[in-house]
Amino acid sequence: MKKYNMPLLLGSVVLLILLLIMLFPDLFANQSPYNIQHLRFVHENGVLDIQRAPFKPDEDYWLGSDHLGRDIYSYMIYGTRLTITLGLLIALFEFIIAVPLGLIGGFGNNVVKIVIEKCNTLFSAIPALLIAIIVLNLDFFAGQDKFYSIASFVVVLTLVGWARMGVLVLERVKGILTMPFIKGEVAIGKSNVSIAIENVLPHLAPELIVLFFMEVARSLTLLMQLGIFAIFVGNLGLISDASAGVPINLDISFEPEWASMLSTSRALLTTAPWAVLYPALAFFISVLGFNLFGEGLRLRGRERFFSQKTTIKGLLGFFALILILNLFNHKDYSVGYAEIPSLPQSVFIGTESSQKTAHFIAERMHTLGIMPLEDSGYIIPYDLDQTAMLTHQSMALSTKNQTIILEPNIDFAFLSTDDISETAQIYDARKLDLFTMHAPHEFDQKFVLIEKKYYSEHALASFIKKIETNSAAKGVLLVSESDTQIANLTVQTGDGNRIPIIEINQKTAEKFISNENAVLTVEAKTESLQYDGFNVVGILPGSDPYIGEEAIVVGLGYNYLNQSGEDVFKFNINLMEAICGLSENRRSVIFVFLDGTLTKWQHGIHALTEDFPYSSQDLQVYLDLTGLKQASFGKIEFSADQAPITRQFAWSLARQVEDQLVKSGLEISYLSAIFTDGSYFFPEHQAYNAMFWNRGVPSIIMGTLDPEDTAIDVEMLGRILLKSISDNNY
Amino acid sequence: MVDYLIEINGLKISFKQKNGFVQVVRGIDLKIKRGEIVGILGESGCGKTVSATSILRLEDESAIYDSGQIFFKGKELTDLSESEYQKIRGNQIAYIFQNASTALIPHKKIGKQLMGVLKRHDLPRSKEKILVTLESVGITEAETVYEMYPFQLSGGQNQRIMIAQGIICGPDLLIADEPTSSVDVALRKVILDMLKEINRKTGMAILMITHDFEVINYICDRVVVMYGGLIMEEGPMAEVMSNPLHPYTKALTYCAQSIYQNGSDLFTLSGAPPTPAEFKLECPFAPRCSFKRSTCMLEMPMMMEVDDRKVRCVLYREEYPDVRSDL
Ligand SMILES: Nc1ncnc2c1ncn2[C@@H]1O[C@H](COP(=O)(O)OP(=O)(O)OP(=O)(O)O)[C@@H](O)[C@H]1O
Ligand SMILES: [Mg+2]
Repeated sequence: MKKYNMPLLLGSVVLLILLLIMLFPDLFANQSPYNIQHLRFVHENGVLDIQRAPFKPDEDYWLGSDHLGRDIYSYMIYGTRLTITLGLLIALFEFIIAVPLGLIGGFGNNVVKIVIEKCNTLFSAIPALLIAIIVLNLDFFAGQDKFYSIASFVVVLTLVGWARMGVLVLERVKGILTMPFIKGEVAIGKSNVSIAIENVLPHLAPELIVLFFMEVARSLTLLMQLGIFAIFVGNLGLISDASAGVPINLDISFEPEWASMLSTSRALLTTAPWAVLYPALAFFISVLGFNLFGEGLRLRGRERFFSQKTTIKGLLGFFALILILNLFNHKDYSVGYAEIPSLPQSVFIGTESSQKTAHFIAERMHTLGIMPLEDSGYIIPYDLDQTAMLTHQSMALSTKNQTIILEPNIDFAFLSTDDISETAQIYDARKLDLFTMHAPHEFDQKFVLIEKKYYSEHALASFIKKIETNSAAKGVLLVSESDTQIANLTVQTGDGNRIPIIEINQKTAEKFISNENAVLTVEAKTESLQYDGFNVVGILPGSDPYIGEEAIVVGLGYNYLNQSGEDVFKFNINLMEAICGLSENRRSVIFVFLDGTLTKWQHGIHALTEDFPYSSQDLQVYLDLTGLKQASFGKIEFSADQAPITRQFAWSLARQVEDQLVKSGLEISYLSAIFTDGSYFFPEHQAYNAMFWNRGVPSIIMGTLDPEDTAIDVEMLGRILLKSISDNNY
Repeated sequence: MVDYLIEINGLKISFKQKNGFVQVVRGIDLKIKRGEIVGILGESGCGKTVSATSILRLEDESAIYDSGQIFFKGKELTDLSESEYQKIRGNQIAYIFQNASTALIPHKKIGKQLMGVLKRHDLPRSKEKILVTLESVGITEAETVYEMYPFQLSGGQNQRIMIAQGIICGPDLLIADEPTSSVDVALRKVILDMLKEINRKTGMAILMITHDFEVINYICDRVVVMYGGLIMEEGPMAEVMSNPLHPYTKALTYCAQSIYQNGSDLFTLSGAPPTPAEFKLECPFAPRCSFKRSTCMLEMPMMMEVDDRKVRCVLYREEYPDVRSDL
């Protein structure tokens, strides 16, 4: 009877399975690792039951879910690649250091010998785990991006572990050098270097290979232990709750990885043991697999090894391939400007140009295989009743001896007006208690100056209403928070019933206040808009049977006034095409081309979010790119405040985009947001709040800034966006 | 003056040990002509291997060259750098180790191993030459052996491969340390014949180390008898055999003859040779010598020239003319 090498057999089976999972995770997983479901509804015996994550293992969640609602099984499957790669990398780098140094030391170099021995004493006196915990817990390592996080892990764990290998190699080399055949090699005239390479290394090779597999197992064990101490690749060092004065960390990684699972769920050990048990089991099985394989190779013996080198070589080659695949998995994501013939000079809401362009976009969507989201077609019109375009506007401040002419859309901007021509004094109401407003008649025949930043949108609206009804004020001047440019191209009309509302910047306000008895002359002429607003909406259905329903919304603008804006539009069209061309479109992608993005009130998003034609639950993220206004710019405006950690897909996409932006050396200007009711709110940009506040869809906002400082081309953003979407969607 | 291939003068070698230095080789003078076969004969531990390996500086780091010169083709070897030595090793002077099976690299096929020697010395890497060399040392299925590992071959085959490795570069001198100790008597003759043949054909000088009189007798032109780290007697083979000068050589020949002549009544040499730690300034053989004189224990006897032979024994000094005839 033939005797089987059981360890080798079992080890090979485990490694083979790991390998397959690493290469083709989608064949094994039944869900996306990024799926998050906090609540779910279960019909049981006719009774509707609402459950909260963590869920027990059942037919939806094979191994259960954790408290964030992530499917343990899928997360584990997708985590295999990173986890095992880490183990391999650490072992590999330990060898890269230990083998040459061990060789040099073994040949009698005393300095190297001492370094190896001292390092070994040091790292065996202090447990490697402890050092790793202390070093990797430094703030420096928390919240790094993927590449640096992996790199720092590998570096630290390699430094901690290599000396042990070094001593082993050193001792073995010394042993080999005393063997008679080495003297034989000296006698035929070989040098030390060629003896090291041609004799010692090959002689060591079988042991080194065995050791390598054992070392992978050891590294994995260390990773697992570190995981329990909340140290793992890509720990973002987030704080989930600081209400009791003690920060409670939310230890979570942006990538599926086993150690992070242990860490995220370690508190669930008693309530939801499956969330900890299965990742730990995955570790144990892999560690066992690598150990068994190493042991099996050892059992095969050295003689067999030499006569059957090829299998081992093949195996090592395979692992090398995986490492290479993982490390150099770079694709070309380029987005240029689409060639579009005969575009209008400018596209503006409520005009023919906008209607024509909307039709062009709809056609383009059709040819790309994007489906309309509404039965009526791609174009979803919305009402522009009380909206007009300003054909003339002016503002001048006259004192006794001079007249200051103010610049429209820089110093001031009309928010709402009819055709007017008024001259009146200014009433400084900034220090008044507007909530009580004791003597509204003081405002009569005057422009009332109000500081905008102290009040909420609602409060302002009610003040203006009160002023309109209780006084004969000529108009309201809202002092904007920004001290630079303010602009608005359309206004709300009041059909003669309402007073004009004008936004002014800080500098203008100062001029008004410093000239006490000055009079302000304001003129405006409007022309009502001919057409409706047109949002163009289409969906590229996702390919995955499980997560195909889930959708990413990409919000793009198509209004423009100049060449740079036209280039952005061409870019937007091309971005849509490029996203359609991605191979990882497992989720649906909804493209919304919004009208009126150059205006304050008629931004298409408001109309769209009132009745968004898709289930909000399935919307994973809204990527707002309507802020892209120039094809070349100096800074990027960005906010992921409305993509909270609890919405992991959006949040991790935001992280990836941000990482890529930083890595590309772009300067980011973070949009300022106000924190109310547990979420963020953008006071200066109503449109940015719409998806999040009206529909509860987490949003990532990007825009362009500083067109004068035109160092960056929008193409660069395209590459970043495509890569992030593609990476996050696999 | 004769132009010697190698000329060793007053070579002394010590080893560093726990309690100081121990001199193992205490002054060796040896000259080998081109094409000559010289044998070193001596009991185990007398310093044969150390003397021979020192020619190629093959000892480990604990070996110290106390004094002496080694001229190879007129060039002083002891001054050479390690890399200059590497060019001589294997190429001009080859060394065959005492234990061939372990001196071959276990993880390399025979062919590759021999190829390595050629490669090291920038000789054309021809498989043809390797196969011919293998055949010349009596490996019959050279093609097969070419693809085999040392552990797949017998001790005798490995011994031949070792010799093949020694001669493949066509060295001027081959140092063979007990090349026949691990093979049976029949094979021993084959190997010795082969070495003789190569010597005759190529003019390669051979330094043969052994403690076997038979081997020396069969192959050598000249013999050097060592004892206690010193050369005791040196001379042409036939003369030393028929008329040994030194009492030690005499005892050795007597031992050898008694084995072959009357198996029942063996002559044995009582006592054991001194270990290097016991070396004193006296004739090392004196404690076992039946012709011992008082002067033997007082000083180290000088090397005496007797005709074309040399002997290290006080009996050949002028004051003992009578004793010599008793020998
Ligand atoms: N590396 C070493 N360190 C210390 N002593 C050594 C070393 N090598 C050899 N010696 C000593 O030198 C002496 C001579 O050894 P050598 O190997 O030359 O003997 P030999 O004549 O070749 O014996 P054999 O016939 O058994 O091979 C021995 O006493 C041995 O103990
Ligand atoms: Mg010896």
